[in-house]
Order: sequence, then C-alpha cells, then structure tokens
Amino acid sequence: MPGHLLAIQNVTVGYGSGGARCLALSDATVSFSTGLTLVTGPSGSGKTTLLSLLGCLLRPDCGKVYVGGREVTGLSEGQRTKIRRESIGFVFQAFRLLRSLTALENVMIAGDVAGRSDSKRARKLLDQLGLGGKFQLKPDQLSGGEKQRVAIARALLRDPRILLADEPTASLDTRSGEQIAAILQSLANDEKRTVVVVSHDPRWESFAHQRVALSDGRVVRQQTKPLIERIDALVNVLIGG
Amino acid sequence: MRLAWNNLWHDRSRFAVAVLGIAFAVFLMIFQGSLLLSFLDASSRVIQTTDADLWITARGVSCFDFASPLPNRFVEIAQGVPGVLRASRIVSNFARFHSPDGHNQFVLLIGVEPEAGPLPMPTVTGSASVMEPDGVLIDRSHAQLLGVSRFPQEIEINRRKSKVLAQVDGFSSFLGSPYVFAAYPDAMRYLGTAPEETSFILARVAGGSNVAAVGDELRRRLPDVDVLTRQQFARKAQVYWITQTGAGGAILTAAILGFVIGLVVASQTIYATTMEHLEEYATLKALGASPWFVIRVVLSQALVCGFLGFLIGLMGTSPVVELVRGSIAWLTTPAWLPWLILPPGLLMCCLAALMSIRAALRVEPARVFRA
Repeated sequence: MPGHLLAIQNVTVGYGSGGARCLALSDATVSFSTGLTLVTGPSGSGKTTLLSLLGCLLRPDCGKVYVGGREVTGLSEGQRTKIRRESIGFVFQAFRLLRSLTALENVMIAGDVAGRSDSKRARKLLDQLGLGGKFQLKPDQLSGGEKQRVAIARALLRDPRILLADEPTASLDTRSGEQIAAILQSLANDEKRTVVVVSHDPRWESFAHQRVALSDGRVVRQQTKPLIERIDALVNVLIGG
Repeated sequence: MRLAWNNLWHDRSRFAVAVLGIAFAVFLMIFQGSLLLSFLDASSRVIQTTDADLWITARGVSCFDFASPLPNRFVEIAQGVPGVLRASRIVSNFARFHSPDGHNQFVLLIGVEPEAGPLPMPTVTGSASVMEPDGVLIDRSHAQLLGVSRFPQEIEINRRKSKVLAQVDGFSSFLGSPYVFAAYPDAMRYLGTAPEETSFILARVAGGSNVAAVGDELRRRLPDVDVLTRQQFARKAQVYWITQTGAGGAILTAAILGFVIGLVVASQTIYATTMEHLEEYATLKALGASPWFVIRVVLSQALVCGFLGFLIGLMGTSPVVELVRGSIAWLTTPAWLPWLILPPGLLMCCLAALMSIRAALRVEPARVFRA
C-alpha cells in the first residue's frame, strides 16, 4: 500500500459502543489509482465512511489510510486539514454551496480558506464548466446541475489530484446528471486525476475504470475494467447511445 | 471578512433581529446604568455642590436628607481650629409647604449661610451675598408639584408666610420631598429650630493647610461628632441610599438585572446567528478551513452585530431618557457611560461568539456527506 496515491489498508471503523456498536468498515483494504473509481453498495455498506476516511475527515479505529502516497492515519488534525485543503477536492450530493455567496465567491472560498484568493482561476474554471455568465448569481438562483458545476469548480480551484464525489448526480435530473458524469469522467481520463465516485446510479458503471463493491462494511469486489470497454462507454454517453 | 458580512447580509431579517436584540440589550444597560448613576448623584447632590473641604455632622448621620441636631457652638470651635479658613452652617429638616391654591407638600427645607458655598440661596437681585428676607427657591422640576406658577408667589412653610422668589435647576429631589432653599435665619424660623442647634457645619480649609490634618484636629476637639471630607460624606450618603433603603436597592438590582439581561439577550442572539450557519462551517472545515478561519468568520459577525447594535441602542437611549425625565427629573446619562459599556458589550458579543465557536469548531466535518 505505501506508494499508492489513495488507499486504505486493513481498516476498521465502528460506531457506538458496547452492544450497540456496529462496524461501518471491517478490515477493509482497497487502493485507488488514477482514473475514475465507482464505489457501490447498499445503504449502510460503508460507502460514506470510506469516503470520509479518504477525505481525512475520519480516523479509523485500526488500519492505515494513505493519501497522496503518504500515511495520514496518525497525523494531527492541523496536518489533515492541510491535506484536505491542498490535495483533495470534494463534490457533495447536496452541493454544499454557501448560500450567502455568489457562484464566483463560492469557488473562491476554496482559496480563501488557504489564505490565497484566486479570482482569475475561479472565473476560468466557471467558464470552462459553462457558467461564464453566472458568476454573480447566488446558489438559489442556479439550477441543480449548475450548482453541482459550481461545486466541481470549487473542488478544482486548488488543482487537487484527488476528487471525492458523494452521489454527485443523485439530486439532478437525467440531463444534468449526464453532464456532471461527463465532467468527472473527463477530469479522470484527460487530466489524470484520481476520482472516486460513490453512487447508486448505474450509468456510472459503464465508464468507471475501476469498481469497488462494498457490503456490510467489507470490500466484496474490486475490479478494473479494460480500457477498450471504458472508451466504448464514454463514446456511448457522448453520442447519447 | 467577506463571508462574515455576506452571511449577515444574506439573511437580513435575522441580521436585523440580531442587531435589534443587541441594541435593546445596550439600551437596557445604558438606561439602567443612568438610573443608578443619577440616583447616586442625586443622593449626594447637595453635599457635592458645596465647596466645603470638611463636613461636621451629628454622630451616625448617614446622608444629608436625614440630619440630626448639632450643638451650634461647635461652629465657633471649628472656626478656632488652625487651618480652618471659615466654618459655616446648614440647617435642614422636613417642613410642610402650602401654596395659595391648596397644594400641600412635605419638603426638605435647607437653610444655608452665604459662606457655605455655591448652594442656591435667595439673594437680593444684584447681590451675591445679601439675602432676600422670607424668600425661598425651588427646583424647576417641582414647580408643578408645589403649585407654583409665578414668581414671586406667596406660600406658607410650617404656617409661616414666605414667598417663592425663583426656581433653580439641578436640585431635583429623588425622595419625593422637594428641596426648598432658604436663608439660614429664615429656615431656622420656619423649622422652629432651637437657636443652640444646627444641622451641619461646613469647614473650608485654608490654602496650604492639610485637609486630613485639620480633620484630625477637628475630631480631637469635637470627639462626639463625625468629621468627614466632602467626598467621604458623599460616598457615605450614596452607600446609605443604595444599601439601606428599598429604593436604592431596587435601582441597584434593576441595574444589575439590566446588565445581566443585556448580556443574555446579546449572547443568545449571537449564539443563534452562529448556530444557523453550523452546516456551512462543517463545509468550510471539510474544504480545509483552519479553526482560525472559522473563528474569524464568527467573531467578525459578532463584532459587526455588536457595533451596529451599540450604535442603535445608543441612539435610542437619548430620546427615551429625555422622555422619562418628565417624571424623573434627576435622570441623566453621563457622556462617558456608553463608552464604558462599549468594551464589555463587545467583549460579551465576542464571548457569546466564542461559546458558539466551540460548536462551530466541534462540528464534525464528515457530516458534509449527509444529504
């Protein structure tokens, strides 16, 4: 596992105590390489816990977590915060935009928290994601798909190599969901980022290069898809086939 | 900070409620503080107005309003103490004031010798020391209560004829018994005080003499009375009114309650504002915001609310005090009081913010994954 960009090794995470204790992840080992990885599993299988571990938002009870090739399990909260700020981008199901800020300010906030405001890059990212004319709109003036694109721009502001997306299309209509899927796919394939997507949406299966299935806190399958199948899937999405 | 201001401005109705809550708290603190300070000032106003360095009172007299008789001959003894420039007398007691239109009112009649210093005295027009016989002065705020509508106006004090010559400002009584100022001999006569008695002896110490040393010598020569500096007697009167009377106790309690309620209202307001944005703080933490970043946002919001609330509360206090002065004439707001309240007020906002910051800092960033 050492040397992996993103991985967990023999990780166990439990909630509660005594008789009420339940394991969200049990002795789980999985690694993620460049490209798009789809994490699936029924509710309560440990998907969100896995994402929280990879995002340095949660510490395991035992086992090790690697981010950017470095073991982060024993790092201080300050060091883990810095890793989140510098190396990881988050995309949430509920967008999590700050409702008092404009689209542009919502993207810039990712730089503000690091003390480096970057309006130019924020504008460029919004432009690239098709929101060039909507810099000054507040979240409640944007559609669901637009909000998620703002959230992706925010996640990309610090140019992280790792993107963690939790049900990024669950709150969107079909067309917006396809746009978001295509953007994340492009970030994984064209920009060689490590994109981990947790989703129940079956469309993701067709173009994820890696698939991790969880059940009852255990990794029940980790499968890498051949390149040719992924290209076919992407072409199908792009031509609407 | 942009985020702090945007958070406040975005939810303007909540922002307005927060600012108004703090404004109310500030108003409460300033108003109750004014009431307390004005009460303290009014309770020692006569004492503070004199230029006497030392006051000689009967043993155990707690304030000016409730005097006990002193032997009149003590004034000569005091005058004979080295360092005493002059000794003068004040006589005071309660008297019945009767105006021609039938008004009857108990008043505190104060008879002053011209040497006693700058207390109101019914002097002859054009003279600072020649007393107008059988004339008294009243405070402007009590004219209606005493049924005085013109000057001079014939009245009776303890069934003796007198006349109100004029009205003065700044001597509104908080007791409900208005102060009435007369020349010393007239007051003695109205009150029926025995010639061998007086109420207070005031000593002015000569320049170059030590007040404390003169006071010690007076105590040695007059062992059965109290000799106090003007400040000591004023403080003694204030302490008496605050701690020994229901009125003072009630005002003190109201002032403390006003301060505490103000603190609670402002704290609760700031706390609620922070808790409203708890989810956003979780998002910021997930994005990599340091605790200091979150603290800055919350503190900035608290300080903006605090400053605006303070300004509005301050602006609201002045007209209300003016309005209340119609019934409480001695009520004033010292110019320094708001500025005294500003630092603890802002500190209180910051403390409330810090309490809510604990919640914001402890919020689990992993909750961002909850839909």
